[in-house]
Amino acid sequence: MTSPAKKIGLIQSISVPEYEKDAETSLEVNRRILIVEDEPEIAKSYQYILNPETLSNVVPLRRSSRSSSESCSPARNLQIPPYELTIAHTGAEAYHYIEEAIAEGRPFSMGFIDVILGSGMDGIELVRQIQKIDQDMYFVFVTAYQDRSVNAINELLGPEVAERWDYLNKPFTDGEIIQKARNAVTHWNLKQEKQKRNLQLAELQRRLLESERLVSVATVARGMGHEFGNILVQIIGRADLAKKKSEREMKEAFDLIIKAGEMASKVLDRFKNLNRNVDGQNDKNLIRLSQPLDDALLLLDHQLKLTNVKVCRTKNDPALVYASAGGLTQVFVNLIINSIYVMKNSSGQIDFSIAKTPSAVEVKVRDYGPGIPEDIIDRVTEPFFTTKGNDGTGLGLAICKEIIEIEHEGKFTIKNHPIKGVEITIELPYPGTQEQKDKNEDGA
Amino acid sequence: MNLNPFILIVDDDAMVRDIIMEYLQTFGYKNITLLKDGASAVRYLQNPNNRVDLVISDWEMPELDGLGLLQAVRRNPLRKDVKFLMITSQRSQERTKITRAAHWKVDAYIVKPFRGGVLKEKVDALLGNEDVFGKQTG
Repeated sequence: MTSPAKKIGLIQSISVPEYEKDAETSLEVNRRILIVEDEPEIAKSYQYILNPETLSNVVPLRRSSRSSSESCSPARNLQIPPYELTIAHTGAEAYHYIEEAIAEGRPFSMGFIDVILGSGMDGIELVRQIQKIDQDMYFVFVTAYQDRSVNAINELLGPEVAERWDYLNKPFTDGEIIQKARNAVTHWNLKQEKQKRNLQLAELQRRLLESERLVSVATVARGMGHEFGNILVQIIGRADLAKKKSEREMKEAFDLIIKAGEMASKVLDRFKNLNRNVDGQNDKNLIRLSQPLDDALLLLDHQLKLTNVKVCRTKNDPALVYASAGGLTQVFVNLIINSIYVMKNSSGQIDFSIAKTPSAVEVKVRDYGPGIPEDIIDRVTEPFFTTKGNDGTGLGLAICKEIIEIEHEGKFTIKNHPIKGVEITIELPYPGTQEQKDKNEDGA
Repeated sequence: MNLNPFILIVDDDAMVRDIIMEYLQTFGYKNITLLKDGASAVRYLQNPNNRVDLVISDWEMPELDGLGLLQAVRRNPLRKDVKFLMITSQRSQERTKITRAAHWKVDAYIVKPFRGGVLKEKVDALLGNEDVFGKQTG
């Protein structure tokens, strides 16, 4: 399987459309904080600082809080929305609350963890346990004295938690608590937002690939419609004409009708080759590289004839590749459609060459159109870049590049031919290495 | 009334050409010429010795398509009144095509696939022969 990061690669340069940003897709901000503190009065001072609404007439404790404001809680002064606090007095209790929160689908974004928690597990051990059931939560260790060095904590927690913890020495100020809470809660929410956006991007890309596939399917379908029309003329016409004829002539008509039906079925088979899994990964086989090219040429036979574009096979080395026949057919269909488009007003020609080079199997597709202006040639494989105006989606070449370079680990290059037209070079690895790799990945 | 009309069939598909010819023969028409593309049809029509009363042409053909042939016919002073029956296979674009062809005074229109009855009705009407061959084919 292609990794999600790779799949997203194609559209990294695309900004998410405005409609994707609506309220429906944005997340509710998680302001849940867990306080793990064995001294009830210090626990209360957290409440005073972070959620004063739930308390009345609580005076912060001098020995743990260096409060600068006596009359009014800092949270009230800053007019920030209150945090949703849960207070645990032991490690076991804290662990229980976290289990509950996960079960409810309302996880904590962060926790203030006292390092020394009386009897039972200490704060560090608690976080090690939490890590097993929640890999997103942020932690701020609060210590009454320097009982553990930063390095010691880091070593105990390991790399998985390294980016998600911070510490604070007692006595703390109101401002320090608010700042730590705000940082951790913001980080947690941004991370979730990012994960969700990545999923949306992957989905968006899947839809783009699908829509581009439909564009090439539509082009091919137009040609097919014409072929089917002619075949049906034969079937209906032969039957219609034979009705008043002799038995011998009727039998002849039947043969012609059967032949027409078989032709229709061949047209349909070719069309099926264009239909492939958009992920394109599961349908790889050892195939002759000329097969998808032959299929693409047959699919576009009608368009080629109509536009009087000649096809020339300049070289045809018998080469096997481990590839998706449907994927490569789509690449060739896209390239042929492009070439027909640029040569539509002048009877043109497309040259195809399949050659074995020492490092790869190489396909060259060259047309005799006007070529691509040098100032835009580097951009033609960018998604949404099109010179066809409303006729193009700007995805054809981007998808060719994706199919060749990501799905087949090959190379897709496009340049102007020194004399005339565009020359596209597709390099595909020899089978064996890739086949083996895919099999290993499947087994994993 | 045209008792012995000359009909030109233009289609790049041999199968379709043959069917149309067989139909026309069944309807009683005898002077039928078959051509496989628009360009050769234009050349054929440029020769004043070739008599043509009706052109039956496919729309989708290489090089010069049916519309191009229709335009060439209408621009040719000798042929501008020749009847023209267009055949197409693309139902979805029918409306646009009729509009475009109508601009060049196409006389009738058939969408593939069609049955003999429809073809006969159109061809007879165009050649003013509604009653002449009607009884022969039923």
